[in-house]
Amino acid sequence: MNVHISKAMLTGSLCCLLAACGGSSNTKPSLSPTPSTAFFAETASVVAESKHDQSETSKQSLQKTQFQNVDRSCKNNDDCTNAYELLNIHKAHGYGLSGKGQSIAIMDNDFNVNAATGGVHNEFDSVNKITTFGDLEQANSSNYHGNFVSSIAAGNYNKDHEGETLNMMGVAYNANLYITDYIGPNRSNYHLDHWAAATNAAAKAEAVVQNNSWGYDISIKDAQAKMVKSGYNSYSDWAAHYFTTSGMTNVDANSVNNYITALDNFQQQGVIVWALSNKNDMADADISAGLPVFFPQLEEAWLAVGNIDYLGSQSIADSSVGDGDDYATNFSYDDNTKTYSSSHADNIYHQSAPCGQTAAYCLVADGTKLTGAAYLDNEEDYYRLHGTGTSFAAPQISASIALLAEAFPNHTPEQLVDRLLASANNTFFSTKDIDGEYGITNFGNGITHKYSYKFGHGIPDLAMALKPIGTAVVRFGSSLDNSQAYALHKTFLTPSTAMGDALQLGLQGEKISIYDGLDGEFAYALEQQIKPQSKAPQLPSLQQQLQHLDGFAQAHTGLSLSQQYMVQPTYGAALPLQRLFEGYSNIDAPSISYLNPAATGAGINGAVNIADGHLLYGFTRPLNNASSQTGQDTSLSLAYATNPNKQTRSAIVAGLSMEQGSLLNSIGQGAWGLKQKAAKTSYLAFTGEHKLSANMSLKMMAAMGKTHMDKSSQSLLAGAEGIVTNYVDLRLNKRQAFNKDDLLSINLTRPFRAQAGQMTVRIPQPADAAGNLNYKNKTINLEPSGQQLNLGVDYRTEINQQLTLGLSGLYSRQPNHIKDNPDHYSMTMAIAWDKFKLGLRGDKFEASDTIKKSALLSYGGQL
Amino acid sequence: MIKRGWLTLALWATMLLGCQLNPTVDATTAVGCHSKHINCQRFDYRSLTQFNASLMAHMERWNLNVPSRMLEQIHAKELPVRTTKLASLADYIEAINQRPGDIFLLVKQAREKGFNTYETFLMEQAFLRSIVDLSRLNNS
Repeated sequence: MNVHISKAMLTGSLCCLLAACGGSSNTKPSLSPTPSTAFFAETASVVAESKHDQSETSKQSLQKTQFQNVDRSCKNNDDCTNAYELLNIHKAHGYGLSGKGQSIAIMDNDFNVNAATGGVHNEFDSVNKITTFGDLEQANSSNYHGNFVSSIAAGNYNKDHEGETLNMMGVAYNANLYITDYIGPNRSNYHLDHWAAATNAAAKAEAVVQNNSWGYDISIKDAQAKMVKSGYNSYSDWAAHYFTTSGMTNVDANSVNNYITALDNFQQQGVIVWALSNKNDMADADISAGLPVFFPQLEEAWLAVGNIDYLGSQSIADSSVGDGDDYATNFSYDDNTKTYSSSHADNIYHQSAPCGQTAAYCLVADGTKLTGAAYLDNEEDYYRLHGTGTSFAAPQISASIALLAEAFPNHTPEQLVDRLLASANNTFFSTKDIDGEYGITNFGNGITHKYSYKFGHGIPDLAMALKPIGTAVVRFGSSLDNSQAYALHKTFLTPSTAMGDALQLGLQGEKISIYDGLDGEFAYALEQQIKPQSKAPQLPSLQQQLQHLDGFAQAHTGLSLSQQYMVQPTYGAALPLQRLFEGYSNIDAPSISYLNPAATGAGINGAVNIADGHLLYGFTRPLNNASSQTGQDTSLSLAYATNPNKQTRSAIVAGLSMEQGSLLNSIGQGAWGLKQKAAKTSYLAFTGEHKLSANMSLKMMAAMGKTHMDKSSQSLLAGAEGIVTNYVDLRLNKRQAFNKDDLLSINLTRPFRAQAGQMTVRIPQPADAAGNLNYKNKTINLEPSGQQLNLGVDYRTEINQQLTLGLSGLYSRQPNHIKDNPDHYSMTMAIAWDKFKLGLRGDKFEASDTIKKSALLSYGGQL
Repeated sequence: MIKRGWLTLALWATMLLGCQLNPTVDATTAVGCHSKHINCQRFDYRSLTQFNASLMAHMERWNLNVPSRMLEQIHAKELPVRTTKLASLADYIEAINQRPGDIFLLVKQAREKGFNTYETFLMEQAFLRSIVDLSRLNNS
C-alpha cells in the first residue's frame, strides 16, 4: 500500500516537472492615460561630466553652425567658450528640449516680426512663431534691439540655412514669441499703462517668461537716497516722479501700482527676467531690475541678469575673475577675420552693474560680442556682429526658463526660478573683495546655494538644472503635498531567483516619475532599480561542501514515535517540514521560501501514528521582541510520512505559509518596500526514496505552491496573484560504488521556478498641473524566459578514518532561468584531514576561457 | 543778506508763475509741471550751449541715457519750412517725435506763439521720450 502511494506521488511530481517545462514570459500591460509629458532624463546615467565630455546629441548641437554663429569670436578658436555652451544649453538641446510649446514674452523696441513692421526676419519666420500686442516700432539699420534680443531668446534653427555665415539660433529656438513694444511708434507706448496692459496680455497668452532687456540706469541706492531727500513717503509716488523726469506724462502712483500689479499677476504663470544696467561703475542694481526691492511681492518669480565676458576654454571652476582695467587693454580686433583676440590673464570679466540688492535672485551670463538678428532691408535679412550688453545676457536666461518650463510642465514660475538659481555654477567665486558680500539661499529640503553681491548665484547651468537637485524620491499619495516619499537611492528590488529575468523583461523601457528636492519631476527607468540575477547559478558554498564531508555515509532515520501520538512545543522548524528533509540520503534543503525550515519561529507540533507511518502537523509563527526576531513566516502544515525503515519511504506535506516582508524570497527596499506585506502560499511538497538494491536508491523531491500578495497603494509592488512555483530534484545514489565507504550520486534538478503568475507594479506617472499624483498599474507575467536544469555528479569517499575526499561536478543550463545566460560548469574538490578541511573550486561559462577559481581552508571548523 | 533774500523770493515767484496749470489739460492727478517736485524750467533756452548744458544736467541728475548721436542732432539752425504751419500742441509734439533735434528751435518758436509753460513742458516730455535710451545695449 505504501509503495503504491509513494509511486503515485513520484508520478505526480514528475508531472509537475513536465508541466514546468513549457511556456515563456509574456507581459500584459494595463495602461491608463498619461496626464502630461514629463521630462525624461536617464538620471541613473548622470555622471560628473567634464566640459568637453558631452553626450552625442549635445555634441551635435554644439557643432551646429547656427549655434556657433551666436558667438563668432569662439568659432575656430580653441581658447574660447561659446556663450551658449557656457550655460550648457547644448546639453539641454541634447535632451531634446527646444522651447517647443512655450511662449516667451519680449518687451522691447524695434522689430521686424510682421507685415506692420516691414516683414518678418528670417529668425522669426516660422509658423505661429510671432504674436504681437499693440503697435510695434519697425527696426531699421540703426535700431534693431528688439530683433536682436528676440533672436537670442528664440531665433529659429533652420536646417536649410545651416552653414550660412551669420545665421544664428536662439536658446529656445522652437519657442514662440509674444512681442510687445515699451516705446512704440512715436513713443506712443511709453507709459506705465501700456506696459501693464502688455504684461497682462502676455499673461493671458500664457507666456512662461517675460524678458525685459531695458530699464532705467539709476541704482537702487541712489533712488533710495533721492526719495528720502525729496520727501516722498512711498516708492510709487517717487517712481511716478522719476518716470516723469524721463519724459512720461500723466503718470501717478496709481499707474505705478497698476503696473506692479500686472507684473505680480504675470508671475502666477510666468517668470519676469530683467537685464541689469550695463554701467559697471554702479554700486548697486538698478531700479528696474531691482523692482522687487521696492515691491517685495515681485520677489517670488523674478530674475535679475548681469553680463560677463567669459574668456578661455577652461572650466568655470578653474576660472579667475579679472579686473575691468585689464579687460579693456587686452583686446584686439581683427577686421579681416571679424574676430577678437585677447591676451587675458583672467577669465571672467564683469561687464555690468552688480547684482547688488537683487543678488538672491540674480544670475550672470555671457552677453558679450554676440551675433543676433538686426533688420530687414529689401527682404534681405541682416545680422549684427559683436552685440554686447545685459540685453543679450537676459534673453539667454529667459529662454533657459522656457526650456525648463518645457522640461518641468508642473513647475510653478517660482520653482523654475529656484531650479535655475540652485543649480547655477558659482564655483568661480573667490573672495569677498572680488565678489562682494556673500549670502546663502535656502531652497528647502536641505538644498542651499551661495550667492555674491556682484555675480548673484553665478552662471546658470542647464545641464545641472535638468538633473535631480537634492535627493530624488518616489512618491505615493494623492498629491505632491500629501504623499509619502521614498529615497530613490534606497529603492531596490532583489527578485526571487524563481522569477529569473521576468521583472526585467516586464518592466523593460518602463519609466516612473520621480521627484527631486525641488519637486522637479523626472522619468526614471524602473528596471534600473531591480537587481539583476547573476549569470552564474547558485552553487552550494565551499563551506557547505566541506560540511557535507561530515557523516555523509549515515542515512538519517527521521522521526521515530514510540507512542501512539505526541504533542510538543517547538522552537525552529515545523515538524512536518523537518520530515520532508530528514530520513533520506543526505540532501541540501532547496531554497524555497515556503519550505524554509529556518524561516519559521516557535510553534506547536504534533504527530499521530497511523497505519505504518505518521501523520504530523504543526503551526509556527515568528517570535518578535525589541531586540531580535526569530523566524519570518507563519506556517500551518500537515504531513504524512511513511515508515522510514521500509524499502520505499516518503513524506508528503501540505501547508499554508504566510511570508512576512518578502515575496518568495524577493526583497524590496524603499519604494519597493514589502515590510508591511505578506505573501500567502498554499503548497504541496513531496520527498520519496526507493531502494533499488542494497546500495542503490532513487530519491526524488518535488514541491509546488501557489502564492498571492495583497494589494498595496504605498509601494511599487501593488500586488501579486496566482504565482505558481515548483521545484523538482531526482537523485540516484549508489553506495560502495568504488570502495566500501563511498557514495556516488547523480542528480537532475530543476531549481525553484515561477511557472505562472502575475505581479502588479504601481508605476508613478507624471503629476497633473495641480500637483495631483497619477499612477498606472502594469501587470507582469512572472514566468522567466528560461528554465534552469542542473545535472550533477557527486562523489564522496572515506579513505581512512582521518581522510575524507569529496568531488562534485555540476552542469547548469540557462542558469537562474534566464534563456540567454550561457551554460555553466563547475568542479569542486573537498578534502577533510583530521581537523583540516580544504575546498577548491573552478567554474566557468560555456565558450569562455576564464575559469573562476576559489579555495577555502578551515581548521576545526574555523575558516 | 537782504539782497540774497529778495533774489530767492524772485526766483520762487518766477517758478510759481511758470508752473501754472494749463486749464485745457486734464492732469489733476498726474505728476507734471504742477508738482512741487518737477522743475518746469529745467531747460535753458537762452542759447543752444546753455540748452545742451541744462539737458546734460537733467540727464545726469536722473541717470538717464542719451545716445551721443541724438545730442549731436540738436541744433540752432533753421527749422524746416513746414514747421511754420504748426499750430496746436499736438502739431508740435508730432514734429518733435519726427525730429527731436529741432527741440531747441521748436520750443522757442512755440513760446513766441504764446504756448504756456505747461505746454512747452509737454513738448519737452515728447523730446525726452524720443531721446532717452532705455535699452540694455552696451555701446561703450
